[in-house]
Amino acid sequence: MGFQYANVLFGLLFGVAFVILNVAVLSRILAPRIKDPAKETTYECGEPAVGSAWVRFDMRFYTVALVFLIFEVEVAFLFPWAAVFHHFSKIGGLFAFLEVFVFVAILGVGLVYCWAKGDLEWVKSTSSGEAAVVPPAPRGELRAP
Amino acid sequence: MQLTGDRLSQIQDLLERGMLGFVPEIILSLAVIALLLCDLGRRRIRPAVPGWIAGLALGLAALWIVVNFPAGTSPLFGWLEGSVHKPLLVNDPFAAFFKLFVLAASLVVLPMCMQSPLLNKRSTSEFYALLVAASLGMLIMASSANLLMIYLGIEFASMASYLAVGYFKQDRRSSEAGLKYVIYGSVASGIMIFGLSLVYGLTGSLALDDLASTVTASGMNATALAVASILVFAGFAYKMAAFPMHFWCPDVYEGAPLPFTAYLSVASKAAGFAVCIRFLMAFGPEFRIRFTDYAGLPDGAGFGWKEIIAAASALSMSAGNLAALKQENIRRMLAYSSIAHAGYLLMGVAVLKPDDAGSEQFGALLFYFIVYFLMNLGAFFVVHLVTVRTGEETIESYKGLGRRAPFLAVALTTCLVSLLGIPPTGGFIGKLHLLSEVVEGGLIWLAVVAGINTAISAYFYFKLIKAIHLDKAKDESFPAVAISNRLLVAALVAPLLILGIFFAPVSEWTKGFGL
Repeated sequence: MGFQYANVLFGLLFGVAFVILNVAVLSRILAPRIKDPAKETTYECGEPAVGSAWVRFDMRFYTVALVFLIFEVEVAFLFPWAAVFHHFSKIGGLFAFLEVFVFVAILGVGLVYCWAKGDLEWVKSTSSGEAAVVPPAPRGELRAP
Repeated sequence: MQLTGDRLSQIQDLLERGMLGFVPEIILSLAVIALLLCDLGRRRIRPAVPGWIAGLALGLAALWIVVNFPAGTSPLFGWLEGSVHKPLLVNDPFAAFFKLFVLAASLVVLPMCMQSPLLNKRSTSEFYALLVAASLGMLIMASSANLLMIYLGIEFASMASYLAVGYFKQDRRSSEAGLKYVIYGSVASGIMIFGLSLVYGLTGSLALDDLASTVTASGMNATALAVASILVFAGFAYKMAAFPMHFWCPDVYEGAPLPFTAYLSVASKAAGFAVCIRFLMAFGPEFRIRFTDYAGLPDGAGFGWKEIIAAASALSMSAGNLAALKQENIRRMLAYSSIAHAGYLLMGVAVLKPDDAGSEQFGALLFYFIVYFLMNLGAFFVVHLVTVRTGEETIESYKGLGRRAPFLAVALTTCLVSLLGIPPTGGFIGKLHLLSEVVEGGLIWLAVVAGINTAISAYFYFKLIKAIHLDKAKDESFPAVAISNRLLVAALVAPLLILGIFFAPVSEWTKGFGL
């Protein structure tokens, strides 16, 4: 039993030594070193990089993603219900029928809430009443206004 | 899968009976929806309205539980395996006690919310919706009998709490607190669900009843089960704010809206304890997992919850009390004091026994919960009243409170003395009961640690009492406190003094809520 674990130990030691030898030792000795400014730039799918990666993403992306997520989960819950509903419909099944309506209604309240709070509008009006005008983002650049 | 008509009727019957036992939670759900819709109308409703709606719903739910107090254990929802009912929730006296506890805490916190000037600046019905939703999550925690429901309840309560803690978006401290709470909370729940998945993998069932029967079965990988259940315990410790998951506590208590701090320190902690106790009880008497899968170990060797909980308890009270010594902010001080109290309460959990044999231990623990409710909410209520009037929360600003507001000063002093555990307050009796059960349960060293800790905690409680009564204030003025607030404070503090002298009926009464 102890011997089997020794195999693991040797495997581990060999693995660590292998990685260190290749990454830290051999690459230093063997790798060619030719400097080029293009090598120093950020890799962006082969295209010349545009702008900085440190941009702020608009909050609205997150809001919309969250709202989407909620209703996606709703569908995930409706499928199992639909799969067993025909069993219940044999014995009347009013309870199972109403239950899912309650579930959807509660989620509907969530939608109404988002809607009334203005989270579904892309250009959301500020509290002072004037619309916050968003300049169109330059092409090729994901930038928050 | 083929379902025959007979079996379908059974399942439907199960669901319908479940709904009847679920009425308090349904009331709270309706209230959450109503409160969310409150905000949407064109006309702004009066700020007091959401508070009253929340109060009505919480009161109704509490009333329903009192009227339909469960005499025995009734399982709710769940599924049938053969003819065995595997419930998701159970309705028993233990659950009902903690449900009432949570509802009462939210009812006490409501007037604080309604008076808080910061909360009333903008539309507040969202905040009440969050408060009621958190209570709903805690009700589910208190009665869950299934690993999934445990997780769901904890997450439900946590999600609502995260939002309520970070409710003041403009306030940096509140946002910081909210963020810290979310990060700690998600780490804790991640650890916990990992543990739950391991428990499920080992036992093959989500029902706590099955956990109980597999723990004692032989051929069980006891080491894995011990590791898994310790991971689960991390999630509970986070809710209780016990060592080693207490780091979020001071920052969150300092930054959250003060009424919600009070709520977290009492209701959230109690719900965490409720779910933890129910989980531990699945491990049977002495909560041991016997290591049967290793040859050569002495008989009876195994993993003992008793030692783990006792260690967590000793470390919680020491960490809490030692850190509280140097605090200058009263909220942080009370936060560390609440960590220490999680330690005292865990001490009672370590010696719990299931069934009728454990009624004494349950009685002592639940009595301490009642006392903790009164003294902690009392202290926070006074702190709230002072903070609303002076706008400060340093211990410095409490100087001379004895002259400026004698009523509040006496109330706060009583609560502090009770938190410390000196007669003639309920805190003393509660601690006495707990310590005697701990000694009887064979954990004498833990009782000694608790004694030393009480002595340490005297320093910071008395530092505040000294500031209140002996030090001179720079400014002697203090805005008047309305009679309704005085009555509320008195309603929290007077029972503390009564329980310090005339405690027998209550401590007998609490013995009936054991698992």
